[in-house]
Amino acid sequence: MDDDEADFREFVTLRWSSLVTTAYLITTDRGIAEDCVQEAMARVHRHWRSVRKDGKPAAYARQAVVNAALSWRRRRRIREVPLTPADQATRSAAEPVDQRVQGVDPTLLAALRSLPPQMRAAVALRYLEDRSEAETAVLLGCSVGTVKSSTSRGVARLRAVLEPAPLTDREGAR
Amino acid sequence: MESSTQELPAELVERLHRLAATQMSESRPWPGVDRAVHRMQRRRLAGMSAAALGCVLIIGMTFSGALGLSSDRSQQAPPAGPKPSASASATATAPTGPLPASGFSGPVGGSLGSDKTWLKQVRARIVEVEASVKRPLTAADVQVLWTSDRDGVRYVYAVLPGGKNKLGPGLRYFRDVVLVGPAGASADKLVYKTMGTHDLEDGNVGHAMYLRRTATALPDFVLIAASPAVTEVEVASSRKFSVDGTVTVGWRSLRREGGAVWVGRLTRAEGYLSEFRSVGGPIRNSTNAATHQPKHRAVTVAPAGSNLAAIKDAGAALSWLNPSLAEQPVLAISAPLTDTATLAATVFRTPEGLALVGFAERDVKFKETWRHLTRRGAAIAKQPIGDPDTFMAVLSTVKLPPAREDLNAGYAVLTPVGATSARIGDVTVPVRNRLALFEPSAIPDGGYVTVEALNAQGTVIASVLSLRGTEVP
Repeated sequence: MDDDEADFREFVTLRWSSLVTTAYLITTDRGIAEDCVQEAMARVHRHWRSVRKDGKPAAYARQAVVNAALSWRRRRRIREVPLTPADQATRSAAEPVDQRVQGVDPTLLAALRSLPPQMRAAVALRYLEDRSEAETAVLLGCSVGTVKSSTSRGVARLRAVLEPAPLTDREGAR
Repeated sequence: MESSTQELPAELVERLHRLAATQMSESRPWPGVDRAVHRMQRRRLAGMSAAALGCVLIIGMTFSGALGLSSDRSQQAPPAGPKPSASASATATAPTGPLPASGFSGPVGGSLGSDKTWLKQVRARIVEVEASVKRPLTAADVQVLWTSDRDGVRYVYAVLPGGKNKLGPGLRYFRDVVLVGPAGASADKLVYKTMGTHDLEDGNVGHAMYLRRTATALPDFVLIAASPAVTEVEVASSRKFSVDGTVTVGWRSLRREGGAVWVGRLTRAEGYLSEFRSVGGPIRNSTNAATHQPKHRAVTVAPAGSNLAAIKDAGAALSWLNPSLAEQPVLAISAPLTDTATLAATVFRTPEGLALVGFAERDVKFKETWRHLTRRGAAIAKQPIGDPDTFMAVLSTVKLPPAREDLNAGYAVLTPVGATSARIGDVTVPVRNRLALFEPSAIPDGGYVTVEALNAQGTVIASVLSLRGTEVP
């Protein structure tokens, strides 16, 4: 294994946890999040020499992850999504199908999923990763104004879903 | 516009961090990243896509004149050139020389597998061809897995080292080649086909190759290379659908020839299904021959003027159930929903009288954006199908990915002839050409519902419980 390869592996190992967390917050799916980061790291690997030479491999990697997480739907593979069996048809519509596992906050997850992906990404980058509006705008490829409005509406929607007030804004549901 | 100064409460930030940390706590980069890198490198290799795993080799197009597509292949003239040894069998001798790291091992299979003179000629031919395209090899690099005269055709299947490995010992490549020609042909007369570059994730991967006589024929022979760990390989010979949604697959064992190859003639039904399973190790799967998929069969019963693209989408949804040749298309219709959107349905009838139903909503306006992907779904109807004109089905599908509309199902409806509207509770939608669509927003609770079909007088002419559906992107 040459030095480049060793450096790449060390980089991925160090950054994995952070990157996969970001991907999860955007995609809200564990498997897809891992797929996105793996794909992004493959792209980083392809350009590793020049990326490392530029001195900003972390920024490049995070951009690749965000791009992958926002665009995974276009490349998704066939998945089976069975509907509720008849004998379980009374289950709440708000209860996610695939996340009834230990340690998951279903209400929070449903709230997060109520945001469109771009808005979810804006909230995650701005508030959960504590990035500036300018940094977030660069990562999302949009204007600072868009980041401001997306995060503001995203926060409002999360609060609306998680607090007793009724949810009235359904924009972006489709 | 809302204020941009609104902040996320610290408590909520903490909960979101905890959610992500909980979900991803067991996630590790390796070996997944290695594999992703490997996949990307593989995709970039020239010609890889055309020789994808589970490929179908059209042998008839290569030398149809010499092959002679007789229905009674045993009557063809005996071959000239190298003859198989009298003792040729699945227990042929092991190949000479060191093996490339292909993961395959054991004796060469096939009727020519023990013919050392023949194997030497084959290796020399492969080395020569590879050298001509600047891929130098030695004879020792060539691992012949199977070679045989069968049904008037001479086959050679071999694997070669796949190139420089940059990622360490966990990821290895091999390439495979097929040489094919008339039975008895000398090695330099065989057509040389590079099939693809493959990886050996976990060192235990095989792959399947289906062979057919012409581009439009069904595969009639299968050759599967597998690691030594594989102890049994079977091909699907039939499928039987039940009203409870279960599918029973009939399996037939293939014969192992040599150390790494499983081969067998295929019936027409088996060639259509092109499905197999293995015991002891994974083998990559393949799909039906492209010209025989349900979507192509569905359009054969579509009336003139139908939106064939939408009907193909509905037929493609049926691929999820993988109907066999025994299931026959009996209905394929489409109806416009908007200027750009079309709803389509197709029904295949099983020998037992069950209906396999596929629906698709196709919107060309938004086809390039994820927000408006074509929605497709398929299911086995709960009610038998008699006269297709009186058949009714409803399929509920959820959108992918599961987001806020997790269980907010859309309902695609196929009504009997004569229906002008469809009704779920208080919601009524118009029927056009026997098709109607209830959007998720009309049925906010999702789940199973009874759908009624009404005629112009408002009389219910049929009703049915929505099916459990599977949406396929």
